[in-house]
Amino acid sequence: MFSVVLYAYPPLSAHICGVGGNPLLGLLGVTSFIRHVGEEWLLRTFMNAVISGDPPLARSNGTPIRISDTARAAVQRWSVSSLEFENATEDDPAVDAGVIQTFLEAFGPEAFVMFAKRSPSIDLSKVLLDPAVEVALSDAEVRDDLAMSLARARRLLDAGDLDGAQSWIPALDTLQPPLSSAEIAGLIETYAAICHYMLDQCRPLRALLRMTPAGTDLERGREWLSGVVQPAEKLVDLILEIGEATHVQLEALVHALPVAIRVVLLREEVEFVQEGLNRAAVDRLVDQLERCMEHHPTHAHGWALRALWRRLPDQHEEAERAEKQAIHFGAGAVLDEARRRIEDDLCLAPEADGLTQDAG
Amino acid sequence: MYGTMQDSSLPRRWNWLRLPISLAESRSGNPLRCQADGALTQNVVAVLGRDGKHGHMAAVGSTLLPLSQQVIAWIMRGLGYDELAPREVSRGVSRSTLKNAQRGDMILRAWPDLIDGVLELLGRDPAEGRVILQQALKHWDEMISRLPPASGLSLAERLHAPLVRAIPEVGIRLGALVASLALATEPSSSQPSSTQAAIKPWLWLVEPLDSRFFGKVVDRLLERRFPGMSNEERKEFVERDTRDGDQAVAWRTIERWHSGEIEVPNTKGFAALGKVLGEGAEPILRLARLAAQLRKSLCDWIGEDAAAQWLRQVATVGQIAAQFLVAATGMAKAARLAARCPRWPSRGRRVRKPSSPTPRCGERAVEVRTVGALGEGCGVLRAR
Repeated sequence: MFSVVLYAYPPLSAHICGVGGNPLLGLLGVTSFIRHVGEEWLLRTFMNAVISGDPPLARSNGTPIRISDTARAAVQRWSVSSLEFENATEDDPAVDAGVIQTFLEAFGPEAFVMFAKRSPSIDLSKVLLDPAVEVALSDAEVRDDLAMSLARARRLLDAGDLDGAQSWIPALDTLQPPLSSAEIAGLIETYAAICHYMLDQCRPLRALLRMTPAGTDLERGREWLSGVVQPAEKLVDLILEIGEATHVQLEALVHALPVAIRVVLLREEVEFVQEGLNRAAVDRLVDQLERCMEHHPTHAHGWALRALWRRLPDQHEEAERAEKQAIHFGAGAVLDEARRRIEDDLCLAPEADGLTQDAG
Repeated sequence: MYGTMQDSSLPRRWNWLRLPISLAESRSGNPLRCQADGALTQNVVAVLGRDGKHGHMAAVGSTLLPLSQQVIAWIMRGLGYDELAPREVSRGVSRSTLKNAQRGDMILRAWPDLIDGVLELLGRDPAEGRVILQQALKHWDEMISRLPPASGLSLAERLHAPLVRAIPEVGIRLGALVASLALATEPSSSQPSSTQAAIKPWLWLVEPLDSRFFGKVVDRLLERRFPGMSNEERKEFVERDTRDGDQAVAWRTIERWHSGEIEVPNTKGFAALGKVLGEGAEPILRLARLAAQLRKSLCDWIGEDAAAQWLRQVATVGQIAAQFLVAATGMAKAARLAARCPRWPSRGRRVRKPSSPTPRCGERAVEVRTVGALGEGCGVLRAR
């Protein structure tokens, strides 16, 4: 109803945009909830740190950031006025200037670079836009926005069109940092989706090889599968590197780990013994995930992956506990999907078991 | 191939995750048994100990915004249900489970019962709506649990973004409700009235969090049940006319509701008052109570000034939406569009037919439904 009314009556959207002077109000129907809330919390956390000095702010090279008293006073006033729901555009110009000054003092010349690179196309609504709206946008509009391009690539990939998807994925070296959180998430998700797609494509051959007696055909098949392992591992590395470089390690891990587990199982199946991902490496990644989750103990995907990997003979209890947490926090479907993928890879689906047993 | 440690308690399809003995890689390359590996054991214990509890009694972290079970439990209690009694399909939810749900404790076993109970309360067949509702709620939970940790933020700071989003979402729905009622109760014989005049009698509905809202709802229900009577005459009925012989509610209480003196009405006597006020009145009373509870909670969460501002914004959007929607052509257009768009829950929606008394001469029955942000209520309002 909400969407129907908004789309049926553009003037209504315009009127609603005017309510409280909040230009985003009418557009919120098409923004991603998680992006909107996440971005606002991030900004508020930063502003609170500016006000209180706790945690102390530092640049990536470790240099402490000093915020002037004028800027801090302006941020203090901002933190009060920003919690109001009315007169959003009637802020004191001095507060606006102070907030900009804070950004410049905090980010240094990079703030200028950021504005110079992204302006005039900088548009907050784009950052918050739900990737689902990509379907309704023109090619040019999608191409213009990295997060939307990646969302389109993922949609095409889901439909099995790898070539089509690739045409929407830009080369990493052409991207202009800094990337928004939506763009970073898009990159990570897209690389993981490509890996899953590649591994999905290996299933028929793997099934065939299981029935092939030792010989040349088996060796050739193994070689072909080994050729899939290496690019998949590179993408896993890339995901982890992006996560580390952009401080979204947890998100990177929850996307990299399911791929890594599938790759390890493929490696073991084809007895591909060269250096690369193995169970010990996955264990280290899971340990890393657990460390990250100490700061984010409700992360549903994190629990799902812990449940997935901790299905070990001596860690059954922990796996069970992680599984409960995953379901409690809404990632039951994610866990099921990850399991189904692996079971399909190994032809271990319950139905398949049943059929095999019956056939036997 | 996947290791040599076997555990017969694991299902066969978990073979792929069996740990090879060489998990804890030793320098010598000799495999170690996990059970004997002190470091690993300590690590596992440490992992469990981090959350303070072992075994099945799992510790649960709390999310920064409420999980769906917390929202549902809060709504149920706001509606005045301290527990959900077993019905046709649902097995019921006890008072303590509902409390646990609101606290955010793990209620994995009771969760399906909670969903079924809610569906039955809304007059829906759990078999039809269960899957869709569960998926939607789990999607919400998953979204909430992934939100970045922001423990340093106050509740008001955390709630600001979701509340800003809620302004158009709630406002437009309230506006649509007002427009529907205005169009449905417009006298058919007379000339079409102006937009403003048509919506005026219902505009109070865009301010459901007004302190006198509950009193206004009761007023309307009294008008519907006892049309043309004075308050003195109504008082007599309200204080006497009960089927169980108990007084439904003292007239003084109704006056206090009307004045906004009572923040959240007590549910005691709701059932009796519902009987006095006629079929469909009780759910409407409960919804109005929920609005009162939300108002009180909102003031606690974000402060009275911010809550008042938010309410004004919602009301403004509601008024604008009502004005736009009340134009007959516009309404028809929206209805056509709505008919083409998939609705949630769309197909197979079973609507309980209101078995209200036949409308009196000169009145038209209007079925009132609110779906979405307000939950669902069903009742029959009459207009002359």
